[in-house]
Amino acid sequence: MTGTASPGDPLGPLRAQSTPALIADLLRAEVLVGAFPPHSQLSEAHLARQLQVSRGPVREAMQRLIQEGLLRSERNRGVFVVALGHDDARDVYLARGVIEGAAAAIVARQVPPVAMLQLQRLLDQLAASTGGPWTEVITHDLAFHQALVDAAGSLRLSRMFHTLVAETRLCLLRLEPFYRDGTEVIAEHRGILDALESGRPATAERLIRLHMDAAAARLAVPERVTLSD
Amino acid sequence: MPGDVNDAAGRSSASARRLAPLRIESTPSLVADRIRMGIFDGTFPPDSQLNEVELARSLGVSRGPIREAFQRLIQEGLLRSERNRGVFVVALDADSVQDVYFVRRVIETAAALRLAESQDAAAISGLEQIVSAIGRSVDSEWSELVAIDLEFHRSLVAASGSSRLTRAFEPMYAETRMLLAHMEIHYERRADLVDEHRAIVEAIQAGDRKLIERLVHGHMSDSVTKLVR
Repeated sequence: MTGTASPGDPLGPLRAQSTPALIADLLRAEVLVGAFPPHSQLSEAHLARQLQVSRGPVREAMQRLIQEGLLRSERNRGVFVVALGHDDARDVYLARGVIEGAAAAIVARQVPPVAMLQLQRLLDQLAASTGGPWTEVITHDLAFHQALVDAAGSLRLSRMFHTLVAETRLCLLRLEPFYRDGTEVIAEHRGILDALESGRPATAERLIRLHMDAAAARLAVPERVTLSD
Repeated sequence: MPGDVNDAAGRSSASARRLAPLRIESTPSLVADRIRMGIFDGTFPPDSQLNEVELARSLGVSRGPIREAFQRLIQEGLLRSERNRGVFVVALDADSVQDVYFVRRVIETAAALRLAESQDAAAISGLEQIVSAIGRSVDSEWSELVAIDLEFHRSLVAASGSSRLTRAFEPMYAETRMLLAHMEIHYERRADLVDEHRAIVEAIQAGDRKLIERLVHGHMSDSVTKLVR
């Protein structure tokens, strides 16, 4: 293991950021911007050479991304970038609907003032980003949802949401054609925020669910839209 | 050991085919399973330190998979890493107990409400069967009873139909098992477990939202009171 050891760091079994974790971050970022397109194969040996590390940490990093659902391992063939199918997208949005719906109900009951201000600010940023680069819209969209879940005040709920972020990004990459002008997506988020601010848990939860169902339905449209690659 | 499986698979295609099902799980996840079991059965008590080298030796694997397994268990909240000191089994404090049950309450309530809407017959009869199994297990080992009890809650979440939600929720059960490992309840109270779970199923069948919310809430806060003293 090389790299991040700080001076005086003894043989502690784990460092804050291990080599596999660094490699995983790097690969994740590449997959999420589409640098490795869906179905493309990742070569352990090739990556190890490029990154000038041994194959062990590359293998570990790949395992981690398999765990996150960004890569898949095919027996006797190798490791590939996933192509999320309709069922996967539906599953992601179903999971988010439950997690965020539950969070929204809690937030609407408590209406925490600081979190409300933050959500408003994030929604403004999301609105301002529409029309710009799609990856930035995605970042702002996810920031809003992350803040919503965080506002429920539970470390573990936030952690659960986090397990879905990478795959959500992959789904959102495909949603661009549906959100060109951004009006609809802003209106959906605005509706959710209104329900939270006015303290209506059932409405907030329902709107979250509709928001997720809408996204899943858009993704389920047969792929008449040509993907960027 | 896991290492042998990989070797065998690489050497001969005939035995690889025969051994194939075992390879579904990677070495790190097999190692993580072992450590997880050790935490549940008390081999690794709260606050005890885990030694990477010793574990690698006793499990007959290299240190890479051990490190990766540690990372996963840190992610799940079962281990914590202390810089310059090492990796330790977590000791869940009162806040963590509250958080585990908070998340379980909000997610399981959401899942139960959805099941009340869908009235998915297979899922409901699955829950009924688990309630009967709880009834048959009141005399069993405590850890056995806990496992069946948690199976009920896992199935409830799985009834949402999202495999990702079920997976993201898995750490809550790991932590609950940890909490309950040393909380063996009195014999006469064990029968209550059957009634409490049966009542939840009946409320789902009746589609009674208010009752579902109240019962799940009660079921969870009861545990918190017992655990946080």
